Amino acid sequence: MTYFLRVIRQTRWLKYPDLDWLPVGGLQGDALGDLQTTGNALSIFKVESETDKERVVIGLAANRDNLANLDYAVFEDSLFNTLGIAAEQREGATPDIQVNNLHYELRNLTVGQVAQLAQVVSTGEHGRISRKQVKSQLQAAISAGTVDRGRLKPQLLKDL
Amino acid sequence: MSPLVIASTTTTPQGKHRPTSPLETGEGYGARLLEPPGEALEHQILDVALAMTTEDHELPDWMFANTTGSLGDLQNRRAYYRVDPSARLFYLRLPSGRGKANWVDVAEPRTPFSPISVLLPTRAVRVKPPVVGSESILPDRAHPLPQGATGVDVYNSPQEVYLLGRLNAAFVEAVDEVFADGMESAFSRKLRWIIRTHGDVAIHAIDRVMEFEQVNVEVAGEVLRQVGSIADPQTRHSRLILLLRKLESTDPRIRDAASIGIAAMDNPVASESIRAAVERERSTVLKRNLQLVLDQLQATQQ
Repeated sequence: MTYFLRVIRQTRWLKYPDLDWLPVGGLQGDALGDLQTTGNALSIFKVESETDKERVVIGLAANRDNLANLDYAVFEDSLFNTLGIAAEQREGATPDIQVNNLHYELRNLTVGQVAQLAQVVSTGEHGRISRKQVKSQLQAAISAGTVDRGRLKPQLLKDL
Repeated sequence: MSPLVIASTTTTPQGKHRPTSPLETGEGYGARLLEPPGEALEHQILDVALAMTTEDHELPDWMFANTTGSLGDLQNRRAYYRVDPSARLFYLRLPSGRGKANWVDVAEPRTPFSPISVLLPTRAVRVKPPVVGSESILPDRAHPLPQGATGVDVYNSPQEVYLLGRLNAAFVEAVDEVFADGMESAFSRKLRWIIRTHGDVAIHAIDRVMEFEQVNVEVAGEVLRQVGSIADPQTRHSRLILLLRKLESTDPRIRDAASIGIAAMDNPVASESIRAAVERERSTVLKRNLQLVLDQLQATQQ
């Protein structure tokens, strides 16, 4: 079994009874905001260990405009075949080369598949790294040379 | 009285002439009353209000910095102004006489300033009041502005009235945006600019706009994230107060966004409020997130 990570906003995945207007098992429409496709493709990262997860999270944080908390979901690929979804490895574009090698794309997604994928993501492990943690871990990654400082956005550099 | 036509040159509140047409220079657009009213006061008020249109979507700093007296007159005479930058609608109410309570509403012309046309780069528009949802948020007897949690009387703060309009427009536009943590958006840029420029008054205005029932929860959550993360020492206190208040929201999405904002501020002063929030939180997800914030603040304190 393989696990993948995608950045989300946790509040978009709150369910009943946290949001009492939702039916049991239902998802918010806003959850689709975390599964926005580009060219019908969705970007995800393979995480085979806790170390992978931590590195991917910081690599993704390094790819943003400014310093902020990072919410993520880690989910299994066990239903991908059933849903007719294939994960295809493609080099990522984060400032961490190793993280880029963990990048996959789900391609040619239909609306129905995205909706079903939302159910998969909703059952995954959802976590949060605070802004302060992102800052310290990003600084450490830059010092260690795993994140290329030269590829960080100006405001993010300023925030650090 | 014949209509007042506002042309493309003006005398600013500082008395500096802007002789060239902004339509030619691209600097903005000033105004001059072709048929000035008799009273200097009214002329001055118009000048103040028109000055607000000299920058596209942005209120020049100098206006508030240099027209305190004029704004004071506005306040004392119960005149106020309102600009909806997104729609480029110009809205202005003027007292029909000194000390009188009745109003001249340029949207529903009576006397003596009606109608007013405003020459804008894209089109000339007739003024009309902007709305929040189905209601005008301009204060009048029929539709008084709701009191926000700040309790600030809108009549005492023309600047806040202006900001309410700007923020409302920004909130409405933002509904079409999809926000992502750590990513710039048109809304976040606008919001940060407003806070940096208008300080605590902006925070009061944000608080008030968020009190409206029609406010989109996703947008409100983005506001709280931005309020917490902006580097603006001058508003540190009022921002924290706003975020702490939102911890008591009935909507878990708002509570979570508030906790993210508080974590970003990383001020241990908030520890007790967060601890109380952890205790009363029913959502497992939020309880865990709040506990993380509490742990962080306690570590910061040590």
